[in-house]
Amino acid sequence: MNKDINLAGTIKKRRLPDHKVALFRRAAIIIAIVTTIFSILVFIISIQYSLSLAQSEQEKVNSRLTSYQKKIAEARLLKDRLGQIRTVTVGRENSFSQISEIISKKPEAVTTDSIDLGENSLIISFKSTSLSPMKDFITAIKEIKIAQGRQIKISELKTAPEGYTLSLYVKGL
Amino acid sequence: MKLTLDKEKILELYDYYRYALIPITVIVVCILITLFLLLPQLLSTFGNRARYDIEKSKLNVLNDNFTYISSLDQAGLDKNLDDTSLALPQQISFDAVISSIYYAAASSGVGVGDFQFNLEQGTQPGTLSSLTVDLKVFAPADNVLTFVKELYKIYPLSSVHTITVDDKTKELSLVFYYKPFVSVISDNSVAIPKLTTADQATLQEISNWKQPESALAPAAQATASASSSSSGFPF
Repeated sequence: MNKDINLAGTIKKRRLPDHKVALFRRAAIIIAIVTTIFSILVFIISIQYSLSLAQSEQEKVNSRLTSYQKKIAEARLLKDRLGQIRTVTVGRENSFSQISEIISKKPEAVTTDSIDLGENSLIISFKSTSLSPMKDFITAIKEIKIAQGRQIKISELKTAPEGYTLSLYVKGL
Repeated sequence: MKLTLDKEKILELYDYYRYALIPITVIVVCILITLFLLLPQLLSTFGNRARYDIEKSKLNVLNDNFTYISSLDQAGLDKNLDDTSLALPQQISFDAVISSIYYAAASSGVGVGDFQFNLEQGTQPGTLSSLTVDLKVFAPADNVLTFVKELYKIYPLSSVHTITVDDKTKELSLVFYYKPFVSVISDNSVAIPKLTTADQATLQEISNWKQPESALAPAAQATASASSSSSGFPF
């Protein structure tokens, strides 16, 4: 009696149900796509904010700038000196323009008697043989536009042997 | 409890999951990549953001510097620096100071009397040093102002500290400025200061000033003619 026995047929093979396999496949595809997109985003962000890239760019520009060292030094010196020149010219212009403006208002009959320009103030005196031009002068002085922080005041008006003298005090030059 | 895993069991598990092995591997690998590569990279990128911003701003400054400096004309820059160096010399030149006083006096009809020099070094590096000249003049008050006005149009840079003009005395305290060249910043990542409109106006103004060398000749002539017509010019 020669009878073949199929042993394989007797073992009941168990395997994951097809719908679960399909579920795994779908999940794998979705995760793979998401990971790929995420990788690309991380790559782009890394490149965008790469320190080493920024530093290597700096080195490139720096090396290009080395050929302009003389020009750079000159530009810095120029700016520095110009700033200091302007500080002086603006300061002196302030006081000088104020003196000039006051004197320009003076009628012909009034003469400048004394100018005393101090650090931040000015005392300027005028004389006149008659009172009338001095009155006109005082009226004209009142029309002068005074810069902020500055004061012009009549410190003295008196009679003198030759006529009248007027002293103006300017503060905040 | 003892966990045993024999060959048959493994084969059985393998057979069970055989068709899902590849998707499971893909899922596991993706999770590992995300956890151990992508997330740390992302965190480190955002962690370095502050440093990156600093480096980026340095780069912007460098680029700005490069654009600005390459657009500057070398000849124009040299001329501007020459003008500012005439206005604010590296060291005081007594000759230039005397020449400018001469020229301003001659142009304004002012006689120059006794004078005294007082040299002052800038105390802080980068500050201006100055030479103060106390000067007696002979002229009406209005002419003294013209003298100052003329002096302000001549190299080197000067300013009037005090003017005392009355019947008896007419004295001026003039200050002439100078400044030695200082070492400039060689760090290219420090922005090169650009010239503002105020700077341009100052440049324009000083380029119109007269040079003391050219002031010598007319001043000498004027003094010669003045001394022949008046006895009040002892300078």
